[in-house]
Amino acid sequence: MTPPSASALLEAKALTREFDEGHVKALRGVDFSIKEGDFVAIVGPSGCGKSTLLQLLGALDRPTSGTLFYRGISLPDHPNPAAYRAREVGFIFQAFHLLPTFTAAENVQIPMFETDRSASERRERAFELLKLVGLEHRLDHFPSKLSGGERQRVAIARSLANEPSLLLADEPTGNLDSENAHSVFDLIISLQQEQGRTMVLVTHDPTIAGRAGRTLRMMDGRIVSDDKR
Amino acid sequence: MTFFTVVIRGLWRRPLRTGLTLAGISIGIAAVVALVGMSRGFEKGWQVGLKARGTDIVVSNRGGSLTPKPFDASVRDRIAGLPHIAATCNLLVEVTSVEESDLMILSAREWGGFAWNNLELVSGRMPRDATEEAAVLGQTAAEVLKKKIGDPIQIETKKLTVVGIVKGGALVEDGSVILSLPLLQGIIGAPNQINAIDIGVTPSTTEQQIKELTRQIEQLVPEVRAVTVSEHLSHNEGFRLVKAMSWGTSLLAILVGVLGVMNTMLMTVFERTHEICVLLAVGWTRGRIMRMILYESALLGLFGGVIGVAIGAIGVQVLSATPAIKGLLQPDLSIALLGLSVVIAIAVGIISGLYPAWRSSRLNPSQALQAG
Amino acid sequence: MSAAELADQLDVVSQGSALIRTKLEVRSLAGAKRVLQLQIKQRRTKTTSDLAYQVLWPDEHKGEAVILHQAHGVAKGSIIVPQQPVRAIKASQMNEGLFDSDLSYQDAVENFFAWKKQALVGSETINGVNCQILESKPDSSSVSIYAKVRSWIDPQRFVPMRIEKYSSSGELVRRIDVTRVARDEKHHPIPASLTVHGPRKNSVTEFNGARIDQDVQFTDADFTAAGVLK
Repeated sequence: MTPPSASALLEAKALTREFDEGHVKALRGVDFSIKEGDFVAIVGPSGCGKSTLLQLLGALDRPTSGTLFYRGISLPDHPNPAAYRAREVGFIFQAFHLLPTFTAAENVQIPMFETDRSASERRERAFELLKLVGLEHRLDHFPSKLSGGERQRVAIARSLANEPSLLLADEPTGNLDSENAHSVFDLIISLQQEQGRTMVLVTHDPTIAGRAGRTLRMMDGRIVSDDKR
Repeated sequence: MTFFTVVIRGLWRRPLRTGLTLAGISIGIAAVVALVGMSRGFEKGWQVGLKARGTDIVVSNRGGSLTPKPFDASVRDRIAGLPHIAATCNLLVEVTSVEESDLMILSAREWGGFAWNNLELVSGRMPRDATEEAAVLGQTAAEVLKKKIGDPIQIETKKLTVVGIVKGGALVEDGSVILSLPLLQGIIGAPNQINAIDIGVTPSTTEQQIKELTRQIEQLVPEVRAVTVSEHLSHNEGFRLVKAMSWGTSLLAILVGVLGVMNTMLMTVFERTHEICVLLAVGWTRGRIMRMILYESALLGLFGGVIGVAIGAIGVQVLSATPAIKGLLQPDLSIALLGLSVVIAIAVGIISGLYPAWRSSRLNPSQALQAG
Repeated sequence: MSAAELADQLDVVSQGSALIRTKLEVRSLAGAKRVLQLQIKQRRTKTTSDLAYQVLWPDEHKGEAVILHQAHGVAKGSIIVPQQPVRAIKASQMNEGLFDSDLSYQDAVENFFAWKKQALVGSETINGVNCQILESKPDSSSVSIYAKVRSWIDPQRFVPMRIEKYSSSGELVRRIDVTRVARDEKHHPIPASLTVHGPRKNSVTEFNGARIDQDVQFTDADFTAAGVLK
C-alpha cells in the first residue's frame, strides 16, 4: 500500500467501485489528491461516476478496490465512519434531503446530536447558522412551508452544523430555478472562501464549474482531465 | 430540541396509526390488569380472610359440595391436645337463600372463639352473648340485603335483629351474615353440629411443623381433612383454572400487542427509509438510529401501558360493581400489578422494536441518497 | 324398566317426610318481582300426601299458610291468613295458584306417579340428560284437573327434569322445568330448583330450595290450621 502524502487532505489511488457483481463499473480506477482549502468541481455527463465518487469521499459507500485516505487515515477502514461523517464532512444534496417532520432550526440541529453540545447550545448554533444563510426569520418553519431556495439554504446550514473541514455538494443547485441557483451558489462560494473549507462539488453546469479553482472532468468512470486555474 | 423530541416526532408523524397501535396495546394491557387483578383479588380475598382470622389450618369434612358437610363438635376435643395448637374455633358455615338473595354465606362462629377477633365494627355493636337473637352483617352483605342496624333479618325460620355492620378485612367476611354458633345450630336444629374448625398455631411453629400437624389431625380423625391456609386455595381446581386462564388470556393479549407494535414499527421503518438514510449521512451512528426506533416502540408501550392500566382499572371497578359480581370479588389492583403491567407494556414495546430497529440500522445510505 | 316400574320407583323416592325451606319468586314479564321465603312440611305415603306451606318472610305475609291433603286420589285443602277465618279450598279452586304463583294447589299435592295408567312414550335429551318420557293418566280412582301428565325422567337418578300437564282438550296447561338437582343428606338426588310456567302467560314462578331436613317426625296436628297457627 502506498503511504499517503502528508500534505493531502484526500488522496485516492486506483479507486474502483463496481455494482451488481462487476456488471456495472461506476469507477474504473481513479487517482487524485485534494489539498486542504481546495475548491474542486467534478464535472461530466450523467452516469460518469461523479456521484459515486462523492459518496466514497463521504464514507457513505466503500470502494471495490484501491485506496482512499483522509488526512492519512484510510476511509474504507475507518473505525468509526459515522463520526467521520458527523464531524469532518458536510453534505449538500441536490434534493435537499431535509426531514419533513422537523422545523428548519431542528433540521440544522440533527447532526449536532453526535457532538457534546447541550440542547441550548444546539439551539443557539442552529440560530447562528440559519442567520448566516439568511433564514433567521424562518426558524420554526417546516420544510413544506419553505421555497426550494430556502430549503437548500437550510440544508447548507445543516451541513455546517459540526464545523466540518470538508463540504461535499452533489448538484446543489440542480433542483433550483436560475435565480435561486445563483444566490445559493454565491452562498456556497462565500462559505468556501471566507471560511477556507475544502469543497468538492459535483455539477454538470460549466458556469458553476468555472468558478472552482480546479476542475476534474470525468468520463465513463475515469478522470479524463484535471484543470487547475 | 432533545433526542426525546426526535422520538416523539417519529410517533407523531402518523397520529392515526400511532393511535390505533396504542389502542391495541392498551386493550391488551387492560385485559392483563382486569384478568390478573380479578384472579389475584379472588386469591387474596380468601387468604386474607383466613390469615386475618389467625387461622393456619382449616379442618373440614371430606366431600360436601358448596359447603362442607357437618360433623360433630366433639372432633375439636379430639384434636385440641395436639402440639403447636394455640387456639381452635368451631364454625358452621352455610350457603343459603336469605330473604331476597339466593346465595348468602351464614358464618356461625363459636361464641368467644378467635374468629370473632378480627371483625371490626363499622357501626352498631357485636351480639351481647351467645344466645341473643342477633346477627352482624359484613358491609357487602348489608348492601346486598339492604339492611341497616335495627332491621329484622329472617334466617331460616328465625327472625333476628341486625345489631352491627362489620368490616372483616376479607371479601368472604364482608359478604357474610355472622352470628353465634349456638344460635344457628338452634335455628337449623343441629345442636353440636359444625362443618369447620379453624386452628391457629403457636407463633414459633414452622411451615414444616404445620404440615406435620395436618397429618396428625387426619390420622386422629380419619373422616376430616386438614389443610393449611396456603394449600387451601392452591388445591382448589377451580381457582387454579381461573388463574391459568387469566394468565393465558393475558399472554395472548400481550402477543397480539407485540405483533401490533412490531407491524407498526416495521411500517414506520419502511416508510422512513429515506429519512433514516439522511440521518446516517449526516453522521448519526447506527446505534443512535436503533435507539430512536427502540425508544419509539418503548414509548408506544409506555403510553399504551398507562392507558391500558387506566382502562383496566376502571373496567374492573365497573365490572365488580355489576350486580352479578358485586360482593363476590374485590379486584386486587395493587400498585405492584399496575406497575408490572406498565413494565410489561414497555417490554412489549422494546421487544417488538428490536427487529425493526435492527432492520433500520442495516440500511445503506448511499443508494437512497442518489441524486434526483 | 317398564313404565309402571319407573313410576313406582319415582313414587317410592318421593315418599317420606321432610322439612323444606325454599324461596318462591314470582316474576312478571313486566319486570315486577314478588319474593316469599317458605317453609314446607311434607309427609307422603303410598296413598296419602300432607303438605303445609307457611310464609316466613316478608313480614306482611308472615304466618300465611296453605294446608293440602290428598288421600286415595282426592285432594282438599285450606288457606290460613292470621286474624281471619280459615277458608277451605273448593274442588273448583284446586287450579288456582299457590300463594298466587304459577304452581297450583293441585300440582303441589297430587302424585301422578301413583296413578294406575303409566306409559313410556319416547325419549329425549334435556339439558344434556337423556330422559325417558313417561305419560301418566288419571284413572277412575284419581280426581285431577288434568287429563294427562308427561314427565321427562332421568332414569339414572330417578329425577324428573321436566313435567308437562295437559287439559282434557289436549292443551298444555303447565310446564315445570327442573333447573337444579341437589343431593340430600343421604346423597340421593332431589330436584332443588324449579321453574313453573302456568296458564297465566305474563308470569313465571321459580322455586329455589335452600334446605331440606328429612325423616322429620310430624304429627297429624302439624297439618291442621291450629297446628300451623301455633
